[in-house]
Parts: sequence; C-alpha cells; structure tokens
Amino acid sequence: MLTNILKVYEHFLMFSLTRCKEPNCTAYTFSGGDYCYHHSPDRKKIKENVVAALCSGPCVNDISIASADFRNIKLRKGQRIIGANFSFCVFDNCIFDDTLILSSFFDFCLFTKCSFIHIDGRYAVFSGSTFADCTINDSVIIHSNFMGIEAEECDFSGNDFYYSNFSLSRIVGTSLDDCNLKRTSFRSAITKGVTFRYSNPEEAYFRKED
Amino acid sequence: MKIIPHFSAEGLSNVYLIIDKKNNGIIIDPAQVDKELLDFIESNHTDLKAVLVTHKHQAHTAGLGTLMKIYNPAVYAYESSINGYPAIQVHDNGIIRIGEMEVKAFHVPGHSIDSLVYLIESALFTGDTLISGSIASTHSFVERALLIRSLMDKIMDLDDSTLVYPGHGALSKLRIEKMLNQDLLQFESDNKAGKISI
Repeated sequence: MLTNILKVYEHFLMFSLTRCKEPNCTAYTFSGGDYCYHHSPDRKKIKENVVAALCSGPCVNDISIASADFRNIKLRKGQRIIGANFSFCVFDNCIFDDTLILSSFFDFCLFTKCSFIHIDGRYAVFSGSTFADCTINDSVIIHSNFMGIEAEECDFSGNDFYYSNFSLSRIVGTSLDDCNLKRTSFRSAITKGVTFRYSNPEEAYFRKED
Repeated sequence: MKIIPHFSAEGLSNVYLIIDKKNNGIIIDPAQVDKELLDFIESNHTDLKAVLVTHKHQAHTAGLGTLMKIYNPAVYAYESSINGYPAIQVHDNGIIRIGEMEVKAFHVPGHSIDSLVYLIESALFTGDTLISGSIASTHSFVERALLIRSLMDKIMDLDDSTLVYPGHGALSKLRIEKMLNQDLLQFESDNKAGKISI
C-alpha cells in the first residue's frame, strides 16, 4: 500500500487554484487555463476528455470540473483520481470500482445507482452529497468527509471508515455492516433503518457531546 | 502547486507538504517525521525551505527537531521559539514569500494564544482552530468566544470555495463549514437568540 501511495504522490498535483476570468465567477479554472469548466467555450470537448480520462486514462488529476453530469460510465480498473475537484457534479449509474481517490473533492454531488467497490480513498470529500441506491463495499475510505450527506437505500457494508466524518448526515435504509467505525463521527446524524451488524459503533462518536 | 497531506500517528494530526513548480517546499505542522513523509519529500526532489507552525502544541511540532537536523529549514511561528529552535515571528496579516509561494497569516487565538492560520493561494491551513464540522477545544468560555470571533472576522469571510486543510481530520471547504459546522451554527443560533454577546 505504502509503495503504491508513494508512486502516486510522485506525480501528485493539486487542481489549479486560479479563479475563472469571467466577472463574478469564483470557480476554479479547469486546469490552469483562463476559465472554469462552466465558462469555457469548449465545454463539450472538455467533458469528453474528462470522460475519456476517467474510463481509459492513466490518472485523473489536476482538474476542476464543477456542475457536470456523468452518466453510465465505468472507470478504468486501477484508475487514480488525485487532487481533483468534481463539486456539484451528477454521477448516474457510474462504476468507480477498484479505483484510488486521494485528496479529491466530490462535495454537493448527486450519486445515483453508483458503485464503489474495492476503492482506496484517503482525504476524499463527499460532504453535502446525495447517495441514492448506491453501493460502497469492501473499501478503505479513511480520513474522508461525508458531512451532511443524504444516503437512502444504500449499501455501505464492509468498509474501513476510520476517522471519517458523517456528522449532520441523514442516512436512511442503509446498511453499515461489518465496517470499521473507529473514530468515525456520526454527531447529530439522523439514522433511520441503519444496521451496524459486525461493525464497531461503540468506537464511533454519535452525540455532539462525545 | 502540490499539496500532499500526511497522517501522523503523533496526536492523530495532519502534516502538509506543499511544493511549488520549482520544487521549493514547505512543511506545515511537523507532527511526526516518519519514513513516509521523508519519502514524500525526497521523491519529489523537494528543496525544503520552510516550516510553518500553526501553534506550538506537541501534536503539531514533535517532529521539528528531526526536520531541522536533516534540512535546516526556516521556521515561522507566532512565537519566537518552537521546541528550542528559533522561529521567525509572524503576526496577523503578515505575508511571507517562500519560493514562488505567497503565504498570508491570520492570528486566530482561542485554542491557544499563538494560533495562526495560513492561506496559500486558495488553500487554508487552519491548524486546530477550524476542523471539519467543529472548532477547536478551548479552556474557557472567554477563549471560545475569542476563537469564534476571530474565525468570523478573519476566516469565514473568505471565498466559499476556499479549501480547508485542518490540523486533524478530513479536508473540507469553507462552503461546507459555513453550512455544516455545528459549533459555528450553534454560535449563530445563540447569537441571534441573544443568548450570548461577544
């Protein structure tokens, strides 16, 4: 694991933190250019390139693409998403299985019928996102931010959520069976019909006072 | 610019390695300098120029001695000395140039009197002052009020899409903290209800 992470970080970049040149737009530029994805004149081409990179490229990094929609795509096995920003995106029927997600932002996204099996996630941000009918299984998603997510009819079983944060989330009809929940925070979360069989919720934080 | 987060078992804290295009490097809060962190520094051919300390608690500075022996970077902090090593003092709104990077510092006392928050481009390194979903622990109500006031005045006005790299826990954005940080929401609610006044 360590060797893999080191190899990844040798090529690690952060998405460009320069702002879009469009007046009153504070979004980050797509990849260090002048405009954000939304204000780029060749939006269609940019999205096609991102889809191609996700499905067959060696690595997806150093990009910021907000409010785009991705439907029916299957990411390449072993794909690496590093230092990328996908805020406010829609992912419908997308398969993220066997991928690596590091220091990437998927905040306020909508995930429907998506699959995350055997993923390796560190410092990933999913805050404010909605997960409907999604599967996250047999994955390591540690140090990640799920604050304020809405999850309904999902399967989040068999995962290592060490030190991840689900506070203020609303999780309904979802299984969190056989998960490592050490230092996982569910402070002020609403959980209805959630099962924790074979997990260690006693090592998680539930109340605000914890 | 590269921002590489590293989890330190020392105090369960985050250490950040930041590298510009010319491989000039900054370490923020050297909690623990282990093989993984040294490998990050070396594999990126980093010329480690500086260590920025958010505050002098051991959970964020225990590895400083190791870094000083190997790289001898300049140390920047609110106080003049960290673990016996001389530091260049940084004050509120101070600006430091390190390689191609411009670092702006904000003094945000409350958790500790020497707490600094560093802004590099749109990445905010908050130390213990603001962590994902909550604010730092404080010893008293007065210090808590001071911390919240400092955060409100200096940090929460920054752009919503500013990235938050805290000293502990998961990454975040200011938009997320404005919407979901329970301590700040509680403060706003109490303030509106007239329960507190600071």
